[in-house]
Amino acid sequence: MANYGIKISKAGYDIVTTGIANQIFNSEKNCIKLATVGTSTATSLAAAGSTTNQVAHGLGFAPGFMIWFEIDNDGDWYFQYTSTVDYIGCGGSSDSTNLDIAFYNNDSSTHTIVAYYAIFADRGS
Amino acid sequence: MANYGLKVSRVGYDVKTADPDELVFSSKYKTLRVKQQGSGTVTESGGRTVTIAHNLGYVPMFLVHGSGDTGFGASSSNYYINPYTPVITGGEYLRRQVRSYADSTNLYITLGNDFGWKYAGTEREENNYGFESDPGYNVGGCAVGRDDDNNWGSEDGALRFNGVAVSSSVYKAELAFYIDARLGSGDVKTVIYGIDEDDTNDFGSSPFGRDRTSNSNTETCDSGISAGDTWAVTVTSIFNEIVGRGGWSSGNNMGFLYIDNSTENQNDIYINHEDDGGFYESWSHLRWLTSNTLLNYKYTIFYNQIE
Repeated sequence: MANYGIKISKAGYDIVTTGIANQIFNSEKNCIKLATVGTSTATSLAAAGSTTNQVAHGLGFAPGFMIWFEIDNDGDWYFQYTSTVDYIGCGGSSDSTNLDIAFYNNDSSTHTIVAYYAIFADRGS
Repeated sequence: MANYGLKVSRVGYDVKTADPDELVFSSKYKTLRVKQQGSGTVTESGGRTVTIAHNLGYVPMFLVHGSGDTGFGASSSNYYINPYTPVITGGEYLRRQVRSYADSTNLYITLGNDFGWKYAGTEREENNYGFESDPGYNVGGCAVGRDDDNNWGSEDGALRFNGVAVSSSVYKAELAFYIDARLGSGDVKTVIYGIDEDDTNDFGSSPFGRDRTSNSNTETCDSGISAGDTWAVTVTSIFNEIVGRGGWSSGNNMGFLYIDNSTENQNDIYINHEDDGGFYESWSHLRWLTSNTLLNYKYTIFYNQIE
């Protein structure tokens, strides 16, 4: 590609000479775009239980995504699949229609798990 | 949304007709905006946790990459999207998780208690268990303490671990005794020695007359430890003394002696080789950390809010 387009460098770096690592924006390189963000809840998930919630994204391709989750509204948000010591958590998978969010509770008590998802307007691969 | 705003398409795509994933940028969509990035290590001495302040006043999106669990043979230079969580089934759970989570003030990275440890076990072999009491030497079980009423008197125990895959001194070593049966609930006092041999032979012949390490630990299995518990003590100096022997080679066998130091009658702990679980990593075991550094991590905290 010829050297044209929009480039913005970090403070302190010369945009003419600096490499991509020190650029905030470069129109030659894709930015991860957030198509949809939101929450999905597994309420009172039973001990040793699991469930899956579907979130339609309408993108027509399998998008990339990230998920964080909170257990029993305690204010701590874990990254997807990060287990507590008792293996409570959630993760996900996407196809061209939905993001499937899987919740699992391998603890001996009931828990409510809230997932916060960010679906990208970019393909997962 | 009306069709206006700033759009930049990928090379080869018409910005007027491009789909979202064919755009490099579109003002229709938020992007991930980086608040701060960094890297560091999680250490055993640091309590297996690091706390990184972001001070945003809300819970931000974040991403953590961590190196693999070297205790499981993973590379310390490759980075995995957190978490890297091998789940072990059978016996007790081994907690090898890398957990990352955020609240409105900090990002936390914390490791499961078993992350980083390497293990050797007895593999329930009869000749890896021994005890000596007033009636004499017995193989197949390990007992420590006193049982005068049943004529066992003072009991000394021995455990042997197969295939200790270490070639130089370690940061920390731990010896764990799975208590299958416990007599009494008082203190069981013992002095722990290593068997001062390059490659400890099995206990078909009594180990109690063999040379002992110069390092030893005086330990107490107190009333808070019951049958069904695993009693673990740190034995780093003993372990390193054996590894430091001139004839030691990685993969050799290592033995330990529990010499009774009790004063209270009718208190002992016992494990029979047949009852020592089938999963050696979580029952009686010898384990070690090669380094204080357990995990290398890199993190990114975004301005984007988890709402």
